[in-house]
This record gives sequence, structure tokens and C-alpha cells, in this order.
Amino acid sequence: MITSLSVQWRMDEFCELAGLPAECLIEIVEQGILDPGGQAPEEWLFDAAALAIAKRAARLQRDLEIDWPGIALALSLLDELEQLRAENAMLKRRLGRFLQE
Amino acid sequence: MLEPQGSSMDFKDYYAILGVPDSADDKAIKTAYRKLARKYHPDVSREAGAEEKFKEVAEAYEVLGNAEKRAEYDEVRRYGRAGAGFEVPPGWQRSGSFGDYAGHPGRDFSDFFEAIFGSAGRAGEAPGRGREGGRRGQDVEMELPIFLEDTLADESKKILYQVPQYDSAGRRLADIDKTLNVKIPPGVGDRERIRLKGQGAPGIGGAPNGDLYLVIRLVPHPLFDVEGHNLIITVPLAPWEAALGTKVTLPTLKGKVNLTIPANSQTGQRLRIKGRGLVSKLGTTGDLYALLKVVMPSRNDEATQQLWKQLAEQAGFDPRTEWSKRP
Repeated sequence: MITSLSVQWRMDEFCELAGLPAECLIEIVEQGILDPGGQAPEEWLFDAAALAIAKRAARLQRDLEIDWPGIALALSLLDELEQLRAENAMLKRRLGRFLQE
Repeated sequence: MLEPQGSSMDFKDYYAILGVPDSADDKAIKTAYRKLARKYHPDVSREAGAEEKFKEVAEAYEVLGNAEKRAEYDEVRRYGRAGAGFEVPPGWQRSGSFGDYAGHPGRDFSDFFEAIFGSAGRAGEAPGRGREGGRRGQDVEMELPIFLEDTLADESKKILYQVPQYDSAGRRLADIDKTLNVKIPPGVGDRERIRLKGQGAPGIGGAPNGDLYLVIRLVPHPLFDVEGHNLIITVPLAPWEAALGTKVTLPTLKGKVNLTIPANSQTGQRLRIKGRGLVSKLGTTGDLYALLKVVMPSRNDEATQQLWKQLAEQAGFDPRTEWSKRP
């Protein structure tokens, strides 16, 4: 089974996969939640990581009734939180190698 | 996930789930929902069981947040109470006004909900509905724990997973078990996603299958820590090894290497072994760092104790000069 890391979708295909109306996707890009490159929507390209982010943004918008700027903020804070947790777990593991039980 | 279709099921007290009295007004219900949704939303919460809890809360709000549904539910609630098995009241007719409901795609509500409002109240429009009435299968996401060793070469991993299955009416059927041999691309990192096209849930009515997404999780290694593409291994040294220098045979992810520890080495010092780290996607290889850690023997006999005393007198070493500088 061949796995692909570098898949890319255009806007219409991406909207269908994410279950998002085009207006929402435009909002998501305008808020800087996703950066699909290109000047105009016709040039936008989205990858698998973007799909996960878009779906997450759509769920938060639907379930928590937050507006798009709020979602942009929530996502960046959640992302930072996850990174800090990973870093913290890693540093704890490394510190543990120097501590006596 | 799937419960047998019986005539009896647990009664769900949506008011209790939202923690509001049954006299609560719309505003109180909305506030209670928002508070609980923020707390248990699976994209936000890491609490165990958060997802199940959130589903319950969302279902409760779906009903209580809608005047018509709430009225129907209140009627049912007068008939059956929590604790006892719930049966749909005899002669129960749902109003049928929820058929055009298309609010919340992709939500899974309970059998209890369906018994009252029917699957039309639940179905909504799933993402990816095709123009010809077919429906693309759901994407499925799962975590794939892999060992550091797996990232070095084109390793194959056998994975077992389940995909949801729906009939053409949108009713959920038993999950399908799937097995797949997956080649792990070299250089994958923690939390990276791998897409397996068409390996998700089956499409309905000739529509394409969903995709499978594997989210890579690097399993912590008993010996190596990861820092970017570099690896770190902690090397315990006896005090005399640190003082006099020595040679140690070091494990790496691929075989062993010999490492020379110079004389007068310190705890915390790092020695670089080039090209023995993780590979990157560009094909470059990180390095392995040996992090030195001087350790004491747990016990000393009389003679050794004597030697330490001798050393203490001779060395004239104060490891805490930093402290004496302070007033």
C-alpha cells in the first residue's frame, strides 16, 4: 500500500472533502487559519494537514458557536498548547534520565 | 456503538444532562450548553470520555434548544422517567415536521433520540453528498504509534481498523473491520498525517470511498530522546571514566558505534556522533548526541573509601565556588 504525504487539492474539491461551503473556506483563509498560497482562490492549494485544520475549524464553529476570528484565536492557542505539552513531556522525559527515583 | 434495536432503551433526561431545571428558559439552556460544549468538545478537551460526554450534551441541546422538539420531548418525558427502561408511548406519532432538518451534518444521535424524532431528525446532510444521490464515504482518522526505528527505512506496518457503514437511508450498520499493510514513508515526524486514498468508509450509491488518515505518534524510546532530527542518548560514566577518559560502545538506532570519551569530561556535556540521528524527508540525516552523566557506585568497600579520602585531600577541588562569590 503506497502512502502519500504530498496530496494537494483545489478549492472546490477541498470544500467537498471538508464538507464546507466556499464562503466558509474563504473566511478561514482570510482569518489566516489556512495559508493555501496563490493570489486568487483559483490558485489556492490545500494539503492533508490543511484538511484536518479546516474540519476542526468547522466543528468548533458549529458546536461552540464561535465566530471566525474567535476560531482563529482558539486554533492558534490550541496548537500552541499542544506544542507546549509535547515539549513539556519531552523535557520531563529528559530530566527524568538525570533524576534518582 | 451500535445497540440492538429493542423496544426498550434508557430514557435520557436532557435537562439533567445540561444541568438545568425543566423550567429553564431558552437563554439558560443556551448558556448551559455553551459552557458544557467548551468543556467537553473533543477538539478542545483532553479529559477521558469527553467525546461521549459532548455527544450527549449536543443531543440534549439539539432537542431543548428547539421549541418544537422540546415540546415533543416534554410530552415523552411526562410518560417515561430516568432509571426505568424507556419505551415509545403506544400510539406515539411524531409530528414529522423535522423531515427537512439539515442543520448539523455528521452528528450521531442516540437510539433514544431517533425513537422520538426519527432518523430524519438526525440525518442532516453529510459532507460530500454527490449530485446523483450517492454519498461519499466518511474519512476515517486514527493514530498510528510507530517506533523511532520505523522512521529510518521503508518499513511496512500492518494496521487493523474499523470503518463506519451506512445504508442508503442513512442508517448506521455494523462497522467493517479492515486490515492494511502500510508503508511508513521515511522521515515522518510526530503528529504528521498520512493519507490513504479510498481506504475510509465505503461510499453509498456508487459514490467514492472516504479516505483513511493515519496520524503518526512517535513512541517514546527507552534509550533515545528526539530533538528535531537529532537523537540524544544519555551515557552514564563512572567518576574515573569521566576523569581519565574511556571508550564506550554506544547503541544507535542502527547497530553500535565506538565513542571516545575524553579525559576530564563533565555531566551535561554533549558529544556529537555525525549522521546517526533520524532521517529527514529531504534525505539528510540528523546526528546522535551522547549526553554524559557521571554516576557514583552505590556502595564502596573500606579500601575504596580510603582511596576517595586520599583523593579528597589531594584534589583541592571546590565544586561550589559559585556560591562563595555571593554575599
